[in-house]
Amino acid sequence: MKHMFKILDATLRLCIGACMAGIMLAVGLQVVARATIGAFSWPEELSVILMIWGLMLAAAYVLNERGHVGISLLVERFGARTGAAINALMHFLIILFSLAVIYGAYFKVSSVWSLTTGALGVSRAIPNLAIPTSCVLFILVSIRLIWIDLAYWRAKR
Amino acid sequence: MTLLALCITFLVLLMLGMPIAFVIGMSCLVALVVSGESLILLPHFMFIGIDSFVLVAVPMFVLAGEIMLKGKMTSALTDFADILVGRFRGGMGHTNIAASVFFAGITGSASADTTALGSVLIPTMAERGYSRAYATAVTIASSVIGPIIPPSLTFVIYAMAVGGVSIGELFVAGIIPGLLVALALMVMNYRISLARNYEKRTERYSWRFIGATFRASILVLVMPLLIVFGVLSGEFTATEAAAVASIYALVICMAVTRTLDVRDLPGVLFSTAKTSSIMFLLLATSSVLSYILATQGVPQLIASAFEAVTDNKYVFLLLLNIILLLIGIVLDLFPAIIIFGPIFATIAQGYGVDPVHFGVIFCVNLLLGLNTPPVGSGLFIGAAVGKVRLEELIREVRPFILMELLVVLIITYVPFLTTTLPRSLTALLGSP
Repeated sequence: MKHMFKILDATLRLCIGACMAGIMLAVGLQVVARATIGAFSWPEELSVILMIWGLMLAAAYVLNERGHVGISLLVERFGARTGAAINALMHFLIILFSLAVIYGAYFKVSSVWSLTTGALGVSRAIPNLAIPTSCVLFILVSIRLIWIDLAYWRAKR
Repeated sequence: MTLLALCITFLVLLMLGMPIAFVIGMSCLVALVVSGESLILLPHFMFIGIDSFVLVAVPMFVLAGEIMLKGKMTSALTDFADILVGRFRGGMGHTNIAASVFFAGITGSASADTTALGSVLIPTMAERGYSRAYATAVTIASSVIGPIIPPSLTFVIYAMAVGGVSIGELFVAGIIPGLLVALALMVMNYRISLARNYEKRTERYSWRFIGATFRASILVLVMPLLIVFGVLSGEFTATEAAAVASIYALVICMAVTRTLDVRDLPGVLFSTAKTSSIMFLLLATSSVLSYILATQGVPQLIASAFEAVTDNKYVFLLLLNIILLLIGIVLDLFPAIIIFGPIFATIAQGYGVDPVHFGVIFCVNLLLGLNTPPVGSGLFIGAAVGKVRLEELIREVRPFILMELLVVLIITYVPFLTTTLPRSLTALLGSP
């Protein structure tokens, strides 16, 4: 499990960093091209696809670090042990939400599979797949966090 | 029934500490199940919420800020601010506020301002005799200037949500309100510093130091000008301006000041993605919520409520301010913009409010919510950076919030302050 998360971590970092660098280069190239040889049609589309993929993957990474903004004020008042149990419950609900999104995304992606984007000519499923993929990662991360929270809850019993 | 289920789920999960993006997502899931609608709407509207070229500006502006931060350009800005205002009573407090004004030009985000400036200035202020809670209060109060002065991520997201408003005009419209907030905070800082006998800088800086600081700062301060003039003159779009800004920051830090190494870049890119992804998940789930509220007739409900109360533009603006402040208190900034921006912008048009003027009132009002409990993310970040108790911080930040409220009222009832600059610059430079 630990080894799997390590590989996943390194791959995610690489993909996310590459997406961000790709956006900067694509949009920067567009500015230069417009001033010199004329604007291309593809950098806008490419940058949006890279943004959606890069940031949705990063959202899973941030969840792993418990970095998404939430109000912990009330939970902290319950004490550390009850807090850990509530956190585990919240991550269980995140799994439910992610499963619902993946279920809906199956139909959504199927409906756009044969359609292509205007400039790049790639399947419209490619940008759409970023959301269910990140939801799969949300589930993996949530299972890990539930594991940690429950271990803490048990240790403090 | 659907709305009731949505509201209850939202409040319960919010109080139980679930991340806000997932609170919104889970509430939408419950609402869709209760109303019997298809679950395909969840990923569909999440995707629509983030599938926009305008939004590419957000990670690019964040990247420009991250590069400048990693390239250690903050110290030049704080020194420059100290040279300008450090000799007045409460000097370090003024320096903190002025640094936020300069810093606004490179980050466009309140949390980046609090983290970057707070980690440097709060300990320095504490060393000079300010209480840590007061130093943190000044930092978080002045951090709201970041999203008002260009480049502003808040205005980018507002323009995307509402449509039909020029990002360039919104950027320029934010300059005077941002400076007014800074001035109001400095007045309050001066008053409190007199009462508590806080320090002022007594030593004079050498001309050599002043010259070197100015040269280093000017490299940073050119960036917002590049963005504003580039967008307003039509040379590039807001998104392209953001990419140009990040390339400019990269060139400055790697080739001119040589404070950034190639090996730092992966970390900078990754950190940019993490910061932006927090906003993006919020935008994605808020888009679903916006759809559900629209199908439940909430916009019409709010519009008819306003019509029933008043047909006077000025009374409408007062009511709007109160409602937006309340929304800012209970809802995070970006979801509030996505959900309520289109609703209130349409209503405001009916009352004859200028769209750019309205955009500034709307965003500045919501920004005050960053420093108010229970959802004020500025408070939480500030308390963590300043290592102070939340209760102390809330007590110390109150007078500054009152001053910001005063500025909100001024910019609401004096539209001239927000509309003149964008109109004049647009006329001068060409259409945006």
